Amino acid sequence: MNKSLFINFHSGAAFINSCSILDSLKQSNPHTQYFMLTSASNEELSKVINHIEGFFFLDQAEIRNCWNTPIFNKNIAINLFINKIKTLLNIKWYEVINVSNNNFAAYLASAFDAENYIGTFIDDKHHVQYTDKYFELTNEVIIPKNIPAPLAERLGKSFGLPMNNMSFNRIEKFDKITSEKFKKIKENSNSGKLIGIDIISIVKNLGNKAAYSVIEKLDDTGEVFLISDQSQNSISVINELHQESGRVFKSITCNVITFASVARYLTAFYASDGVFASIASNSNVQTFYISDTYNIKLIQSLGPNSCIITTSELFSTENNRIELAATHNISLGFNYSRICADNIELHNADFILSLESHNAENNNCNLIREKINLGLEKNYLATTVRHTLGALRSLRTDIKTPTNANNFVEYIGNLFEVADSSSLASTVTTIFKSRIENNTFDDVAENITYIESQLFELKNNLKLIAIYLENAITIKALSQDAGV
Amino acid sequence: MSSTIIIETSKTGLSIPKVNGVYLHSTLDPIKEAEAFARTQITRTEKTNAILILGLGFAYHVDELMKQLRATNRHCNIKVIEPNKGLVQAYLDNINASPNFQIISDNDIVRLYQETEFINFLKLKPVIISHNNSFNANKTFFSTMLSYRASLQMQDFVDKVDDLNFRSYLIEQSTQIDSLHQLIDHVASARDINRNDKLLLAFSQIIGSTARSGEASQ
Repeated sequence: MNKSLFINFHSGAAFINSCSILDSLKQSNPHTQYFMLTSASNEELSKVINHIEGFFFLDQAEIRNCWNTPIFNKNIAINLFINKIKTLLNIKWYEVINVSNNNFAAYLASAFDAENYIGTFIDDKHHVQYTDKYFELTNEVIIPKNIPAPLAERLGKSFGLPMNNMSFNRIEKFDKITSEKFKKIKENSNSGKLIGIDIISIVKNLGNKAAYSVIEKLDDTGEVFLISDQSQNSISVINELHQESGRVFKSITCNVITFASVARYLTAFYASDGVFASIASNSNVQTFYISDTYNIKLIQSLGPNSCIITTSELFSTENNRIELAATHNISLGFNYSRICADNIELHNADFILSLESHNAENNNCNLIREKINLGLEKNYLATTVRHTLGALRSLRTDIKTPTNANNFVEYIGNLFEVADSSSLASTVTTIFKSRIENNTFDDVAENITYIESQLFELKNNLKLIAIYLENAITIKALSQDAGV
Repeated sequence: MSSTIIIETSKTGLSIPKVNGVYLHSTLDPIKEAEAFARTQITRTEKTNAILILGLGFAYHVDELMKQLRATNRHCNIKVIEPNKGLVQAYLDNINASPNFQIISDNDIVRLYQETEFINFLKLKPVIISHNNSFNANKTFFSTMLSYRASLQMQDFVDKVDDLNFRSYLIEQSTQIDSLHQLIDHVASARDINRNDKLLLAFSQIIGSTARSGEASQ
């Protein structure tokens, strides 16, 4: 039986979402035993994670505190660190899977002895290595820019596995009680729809007034339940809502394990962020993240079966969006159709991932076509190609002459600016920028060869975007001619 | 730590130690004195359940503090540091029973800060309460203990690293490099790195930039 070490140092919803691959992994490799190394702060959340033979918790905060406490001898922090992972260091792993992708996890994952490494690692030559482009594009080790793509979906694509619904650990006794209670509620309900609201996250992000409006808006859609944890603060927030509204809402207090039971009976779940939303979305419950803006962090935290709905959309009087949302089946994947049309950055990551799979004409790319200014993008692309070719030309000639060296630096600088821009070319240029900034070759000749190879790769990626844009322009022109 | 310990009796009939000519409790009424001590100190204990008392004497102050804590239904983890082993023995002989708190009687400060149990207790961030008479009787010890700063020189701590493999690695490095932050800097810029280097760099990521600032502050 193979032993795999799953390293997951994400926290909160990202921890749950990045564990969502475990069901697919276990299904594909039924004879593999999975062990998890994670933060001590995830100990409570880990109780719902299935398919793990053993958890190992590292308390980074405690280690840091020990190190920074002047009276503590320095070996104490070192012992806290090494002793926790000692058992894992002595195992010959079949594979080490690092889904966390920060510098700490990349170094740590690379220190384990394994036949295979999946994710982001640091090799013996001190170079960052990735098993595929999804990890490269979306890691935090060398990519400074946040990529707006949901973590769970990225992992699914990276492993080439379908994202199955997660089978959370639940308590049998509580499962039974929940089943009986919800059966009765459903029988007595007119709509048969049971709607959960993580009211605490909504109050935290949008305030009491908006939270109350959300409840009111959803009230006619089905049986509404306020879901909260058992903390005193949450109880106070709900009591405050009761007092302010003059109503008493149905509420359920849960911890993560009991919520895994509750989530199974919900038709839809509304939240602003948090682990409850993550558990709901991974339990095949349509989950709506209510936010006043679209932000990258929120997009990254989206689980399957989930989408963002803005407060302006939610409270729109033009049509009943809630009704639409509650019945509309959001498919798995980077489906941003309900997300703000003007924000092109939302689509970038998806676009480049589609390019990588040579599937530029998929639905998501069609979506992009509708949203962007094709003419502007074409001009922008032409400029980026010019900088790329210019940099290549400078390299091919004598780079040591001051003029060529200056030109080269200028072209590279221009490309780095593209990486920070908001255009279709920015994602591929971001990859280029990150690789150049993080290459560790000391030798000049090695360095030049490496940069040249990266410039060629960038050139090829830009060519793919060019082909896509040409097709898009043709399709758009034909559509206009046909009066579509 | 040699000292002369004489046990005398207070006006109220309680045993009180006199160390090197100094009474550690009131010669009139040790309990009344302890009650006043506990009343002034108990407010300082409100945010923690861990209390470190500097100085044992004959523990009237400790007993009274515990009594007042119990009255408010609080159960605190109390440890008392007393470097004078003779005094500790005299106290134990006097009460003829086990105390309801733990006495730490180690006058080696470096060793004290190596004890896992004491370290784990300190992680609870205990409130430190000083019994003034006892503190003054052992001023050098307590002042040194409170101002103790762990050594940053690798040679001073690498031999106490539990893991044999990582200990050997650090010992080997410590022959050439003085401090851990220098080693981290060296490895972070190295072209070839091994398994232990990776572990060290992972560790450096946990302790973060404070690796330097923590050392600089000392």
